[in-house]
Amino acid sequence: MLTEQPINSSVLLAEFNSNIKNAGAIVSFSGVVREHSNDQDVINLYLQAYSRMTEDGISTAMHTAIDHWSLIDVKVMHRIGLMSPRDEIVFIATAAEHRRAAFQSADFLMDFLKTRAIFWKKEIRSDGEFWIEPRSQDFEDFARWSELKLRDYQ
Amino acid sequence: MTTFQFFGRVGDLTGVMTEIIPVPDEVVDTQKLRLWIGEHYKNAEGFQDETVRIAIDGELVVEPCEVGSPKEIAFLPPVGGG
Repeated sequence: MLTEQPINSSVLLAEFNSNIKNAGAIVSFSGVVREHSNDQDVINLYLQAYSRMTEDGISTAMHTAIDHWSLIDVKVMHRIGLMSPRDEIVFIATAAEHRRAAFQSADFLMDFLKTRAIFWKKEIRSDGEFWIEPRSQDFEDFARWSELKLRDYQ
Repeated sequence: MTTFQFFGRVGDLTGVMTEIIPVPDEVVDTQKLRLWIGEHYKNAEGFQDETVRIAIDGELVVEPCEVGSPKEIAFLPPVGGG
């Protein structure tokens, strides 16, 4: 679920696909370290996790998604540590009987990771180092899933 | 001895992410913990920040509360998202 090693989404998706049976839809998402932020070059991205608590939170979100959308399977892999631009930072895959459930559950999981997952993210840019907090848009995105009951962190 | 962990911008206040130090006997609750750790790292104001949550032995606490004799205390600023 958390790794300090590079993520290869093609390999992860192939593994995920090979273990799925009876799915009508498989959706995957890869997040990548951006090359520019606030009109500045990104040199590195550093991500911290509080491992046990971070993994517990992601696991809760995954089980929430499985229950709500009757998923056949779900996988989340998130990188931590020091990364470079264009490195893959997150991989999500969902498998469901129908496409809407696969799309929506992947969307929910990504919104969870952006606002509720226990990560601290520092951008090391050409103009300095900055701890990054979620944008208001990220919170508005997560608010779409308010009917889903999750353990609250903040 | 207690393992202290300082995440995100709190690590910038301490200069370390992890330190193993004893909690003094007089630090019985989270209010005294914030005062003591602020003095220890010479940044009293930073540790009075209420947006910085405290986790004791892996569980977020509702303050004020007793500190006890934990193996681990973590200071967690607002999360930044993945």
